[in-house]
Amino acid sequence: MNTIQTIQCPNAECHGTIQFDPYLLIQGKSFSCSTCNSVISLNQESKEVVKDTLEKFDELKAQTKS
Amino acid sequence: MINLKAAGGSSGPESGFKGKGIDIASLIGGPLIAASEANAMMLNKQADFILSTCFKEDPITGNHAPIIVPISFKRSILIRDEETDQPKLDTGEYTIEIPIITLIPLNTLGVSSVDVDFEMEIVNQYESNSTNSSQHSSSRPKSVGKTPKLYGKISYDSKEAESLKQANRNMNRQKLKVNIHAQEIPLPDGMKTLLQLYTKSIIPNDKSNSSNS
Ligand SMILES: [Zn+2]
Repeated sequence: MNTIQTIQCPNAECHGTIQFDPYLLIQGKSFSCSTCNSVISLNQESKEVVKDTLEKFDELKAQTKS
Repeated sequence: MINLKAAGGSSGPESGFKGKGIDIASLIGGPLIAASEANAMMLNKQADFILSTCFKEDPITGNHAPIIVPISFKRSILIRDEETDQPKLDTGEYTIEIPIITLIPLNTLGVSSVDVDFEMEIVNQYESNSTNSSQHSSSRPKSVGKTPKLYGKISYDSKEAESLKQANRNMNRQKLKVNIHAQEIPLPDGMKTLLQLYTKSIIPNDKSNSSNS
């Protein structure tokens, strides 16, 4: 399953996009914009809530696939 | 994959062995309706998930606002140094606020195909008179004549039957195999548009951590 997400680069001068894997993001990995090299990573305070949401999402997928 | 097998041998008026037999249309329609209901159930579950984990409901208005999480954002841009008049790299670290829904690899899980597999012996064919011809419409062709309806009984699988012993050969076995395949299907356009709006509206709005090098 493809878990790669894409967001618009938050750098106002850049029109690029940043691709990231949320499962790696919660492990502390950072992802960069291919155009301007800006980097995003998850704040410590966001890790728990994002991890929790991803776990609930995985549970839902497991339920609907069974 | 869900694999349903229905086998039976009752002899009620609709069971196929006596009377006019089973209506083939409902035999095919039944599993399709069940699959459609299963599909709707899966989609509802996902909609509930999105609303309960990615949005916060306002208890007064009932409106749902996206749950926002802070994310660290570092950028380096070339600026002109005012003192030396030379280009220099300006590194800034910001906090951006991002709707959590844009971090979840959402995709729709739905029924992609339903295979209804059975062998049937046609035992009856009825024709019912259509009464749609009473009103003549110039734009719609008149529906004339009779609608054929087929009735039959499910026969046992001929391939399986070959391997069965002679003693079992006359056994009245009915088999209806329904294979339902569920797979990830693309997100609906409305959902894609919503996600696009969210991802395009991300801007570094907290520059308090900004530092020049
Ligand atoms: Zn960029």
